[in-house]
Amino acid sequence: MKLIIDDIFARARHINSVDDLSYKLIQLGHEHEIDKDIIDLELTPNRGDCFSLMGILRDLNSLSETNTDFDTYNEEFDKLELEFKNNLEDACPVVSFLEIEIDSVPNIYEDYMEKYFAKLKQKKINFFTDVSNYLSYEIGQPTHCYDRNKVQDSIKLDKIQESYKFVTLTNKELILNDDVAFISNNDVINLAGVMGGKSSSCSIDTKKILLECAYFDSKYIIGKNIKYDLNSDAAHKFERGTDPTIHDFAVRRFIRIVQDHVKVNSLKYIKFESKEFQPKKIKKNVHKLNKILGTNISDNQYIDYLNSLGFQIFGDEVIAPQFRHDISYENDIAEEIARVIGYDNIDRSEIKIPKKSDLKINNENIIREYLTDKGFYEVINFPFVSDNTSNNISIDNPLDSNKKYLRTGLQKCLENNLSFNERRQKDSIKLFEISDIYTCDNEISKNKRIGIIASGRLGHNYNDFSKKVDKNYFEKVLGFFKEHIKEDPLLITEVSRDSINSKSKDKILYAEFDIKEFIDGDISYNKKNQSPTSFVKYKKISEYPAITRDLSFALEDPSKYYELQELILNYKNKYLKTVFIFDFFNNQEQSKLKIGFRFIFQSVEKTLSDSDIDNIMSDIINKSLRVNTVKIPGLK
Amino acid sequence: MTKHLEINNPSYITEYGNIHPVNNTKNFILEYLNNIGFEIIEGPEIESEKFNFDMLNIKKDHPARQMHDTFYVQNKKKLLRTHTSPVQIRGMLNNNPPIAFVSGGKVYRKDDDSTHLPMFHQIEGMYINENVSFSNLKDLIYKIIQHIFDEKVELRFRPSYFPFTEPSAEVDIMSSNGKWLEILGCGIVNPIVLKNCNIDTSKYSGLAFGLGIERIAMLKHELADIREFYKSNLDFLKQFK
Repeated sequence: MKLIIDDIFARARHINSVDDLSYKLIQLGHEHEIDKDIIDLELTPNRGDCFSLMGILRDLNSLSETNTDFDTYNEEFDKLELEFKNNLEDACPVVSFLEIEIDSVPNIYEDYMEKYFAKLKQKKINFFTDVSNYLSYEIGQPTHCYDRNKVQDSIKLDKIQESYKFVTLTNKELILNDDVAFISNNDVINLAGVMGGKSSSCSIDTKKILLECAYFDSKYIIGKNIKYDLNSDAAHKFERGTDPTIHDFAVRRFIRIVQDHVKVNSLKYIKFESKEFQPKKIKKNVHKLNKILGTNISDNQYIDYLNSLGFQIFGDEVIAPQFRHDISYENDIAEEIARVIGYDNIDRSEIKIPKKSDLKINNENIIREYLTDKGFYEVINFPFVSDNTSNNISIDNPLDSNKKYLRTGLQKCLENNLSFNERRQKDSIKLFEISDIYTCDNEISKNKRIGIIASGRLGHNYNDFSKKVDKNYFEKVLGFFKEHIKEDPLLITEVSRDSINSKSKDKILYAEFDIKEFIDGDISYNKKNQSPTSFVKYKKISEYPAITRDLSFALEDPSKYYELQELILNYKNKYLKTVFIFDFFNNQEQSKLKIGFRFIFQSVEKTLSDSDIDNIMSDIINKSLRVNTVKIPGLK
Repeated sequence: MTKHLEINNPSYITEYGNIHPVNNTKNFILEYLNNIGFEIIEGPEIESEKFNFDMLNIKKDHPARQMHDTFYVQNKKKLLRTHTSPVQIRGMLNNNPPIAFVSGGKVYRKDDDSTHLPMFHQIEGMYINENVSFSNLKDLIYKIIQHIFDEKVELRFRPSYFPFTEPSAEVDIMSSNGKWLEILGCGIVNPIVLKNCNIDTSKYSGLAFGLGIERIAMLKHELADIREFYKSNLDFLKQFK
C-alpha cells in the first residue's frame, strides 16, 4: 500500500524526517520501501486496519502523537426510501446507502485530491468514483458509487447460484458462480465487496449517485481477486478485515470531500444493520504479560502503552478497538506492548535448554562423507517428473503440466544431471543423491533412497586418468554398503546411452537402494576429507566452452621435480581454470622421470581462441624450460 | 631415493567430492542446535491440511493460507508441506514438555521465478518449557545468528505475523553494504497451537523459529542466484570444498 509521505508528516508533527518515520514504522512491524516522497508499505495480513493513511497514523500514534481527526459533514440526513432485502446477513451485517446529488461536476480537484492522483499515479475515472477511491486511501473504507438513474429503488443482496454473465465497470466479463452480489431488477449490479458492474456505473457527467458503504465478513470475499483475476483494492481490504463501525463516519467524510468541491443539492441516507458489533474484551493481566515477554512492565506502563494504540482499560478488562480484528488473547496484547516498547529494547535473558540426547550418529551424513571421500558430488533435484507409473503420486495443481508427477526413483534425475555435465565437457562424473521418495499403492508410503551414478574417467590424477568407470570400480565403491546391509539389495545397472541421447562410449553405471536398512549407530566410518572450516566464496561459472592443452616433461634430474611441480601447479592466469598431473612415470633405476600436466582454460567473458591459449602456453613452456634438466619431448 | 618415494605418493592426487552446499549449510546449523540441546526430528513431506495448516492456526479463510501457494496431491486429500512446521506439531503430539526439537528438510510452494523455487529447504526449531519468554527467544536467536555469521553481527528484531506464533518477529542482520537483510522468523508459540497439541498452556509456553537454508547458504557463499543450487553443474558443486 502506497502513501504520500507528506500526508503522514502533515498529521504527525513530531516526526520530522523520513528516516525517523522509517525507523518508527519498522519498530511497529510495517516493512516498507521509500521512493522519493512515496512510502510503499508491505503490511502483514493480520493488519487490515492499517490499509489507509488513517490506519497508519493510528498505529504511529503509539510512538509519536498523530492527528487522526478528519473533517466530516455533521448535519442530520433525510431518510432515503429504498427497499433493500438482505438475504445474506452473515456475509454483510451492515450496509448503508447514501443518495447524493450535486449541482455540477467539478473539472479540477482540491490540492489534496490532485496530489493523491498525481503522486500515486492514480487514474481519474469520474468525480464520484474518484472521491470514493480517495476516501479508501484516506480512511480505508471501500465504498461503491452507482449512477442513481441506472439503479432501481429495490435492491437485494443474494448469492448467485448458477452461472451469471457479469460485466465489471472495467469491462471485464466474468461468469459468476457461488458469489455474493447486489442485485437490482434481476440484474447483478455489484459483485459484492469486489467490483461494481458496467450497467450501473457512473460516467463523467453523473451528478446523482447511490453510494453503498458496507461491511463484509472476510470469508465471503477471500479468494475473489484470484478467482476472477482482478486487482480490486476493495476486495483486498475486505478480506483483511475492515472496521464494521466506521460507516457513519465514512459516509459523512465522503460528503465533506464532495462539498469541498461542489455544491450538494440533496442528501438522503439509510442504514441497514442486522448485527450489533461488540468490542473484544481481554482480561487485563500484567503478570502474564511479563511472563510472555520476560519483562518487568508496571501497571501504569501497561495502560499507557495500550491507550496509545486506541485500547481502553476498564477495571480488569482491556477493550480492543473495533478495527483490530487480530486481537483476541493475552499473547496478542503482549505483541502490542512489545511493538510499542520496541522488540530491540527488550533485554535478552539466557536460555538454558535441558539436554535430552547426545548428538546422534546420522547415517545419512556418514554415507555422504564416504561417497565424497570417493570423489562423488552430492546433487539435489526437484521431484517433479513427467513419467506416470502405476504407483506414483500426481499433483493436482502442477506448475508445469508436463511435470505433474512425483518421482518414484532417483535414476532419471541423476541421468539428466550426468548428461548435463557431459554436455559441458566433463569427462569424469560421479554423482549421488539422497532423498525421500513417495509412492502410493493403497496408501502413501515413504522410503529414503540413495542413487549413485558415475561415468568417464575415474579421476583427474595420474593413477586414475586413464581408467574408466566400470562395473568393477562401481562394485568396489558399493562394497562399503554391502558390509552394512543385512540382505544384499544392491543391483548395479549399466544405463543405456540411448535413453539420454548420447554418443559417448563411456559406460554409465547406476545403483539405487533404500537406506532404511541402516540403523543408527551401525555404521562407523572415519572421514578422510575434512569439511571446509569456512564457507568459500562462490565464483561465477562460465557458460563458454573450455579448451584443453597437455604438456609432457622429462626430467633427467628427478630432484628438480618439485621445482617444476610448484611452478606449474601454482601458475596463475585468469583463463587457466585448472591444472592437474594426468601422467606420471618415475624410473628410479634409470633416474628418469616423466610427468604430464593437463591445462584446462575457460573464460567467464568469452569463447577463448587458440591464439589466446598459445600465448599462455608459450609462457608456461619458457618458464618450465628454465628448470634445470627439464625437457619437453617433441617440442620444436 | 627418499624424494622418489615422496614423489610416488603425493597426497594432492586424491580428488574428493563434496556434500551439496545446501545440505552442508543445513548440517552446520543442525549440529549447532543439537549441541545446545535440540533433538533432531524428521517428518513427511506429504502432509495433511490438518498438520500443515489447521493445527498451526492457519485458518481456511485466512489470507495467510492463500499466501502459501500450496501444491495439492491425490485429489486434494494431501499436500506437499509448505513449511517444516508440521514436524513440530507431530513432535508435540508425541512428547511431553519440556521438549526441544529441530527439523530441517524440503518444503514446497507453487512458485517459480528468479528468487523463488517450487522446492526449497527450511530449518525449524521449537522449545516448550515452563516460563519460556520472548527475552529467552531473543537470546537463542542471537546465539544462532552469531554461530552462523559472527559474534559482531548486528541484529534487528521487528514485529511480523505468523498465525502459529504470537508475538511474532522477523530478524534482520546488517549486511556489509549497510542494508538490513531478513534472516529468520520466530516468535512465542501461539497458545492456540499448544492447546491443539494437548499442552497445558497454564503451565507451559514455547518459542519457535524458522529459517530458509538456501538464503543462509547464499549469504555465506556470496551467491546471487538461488537457481544455481539445483542445476547440478559440477563447475558449481566443485567450488564448495
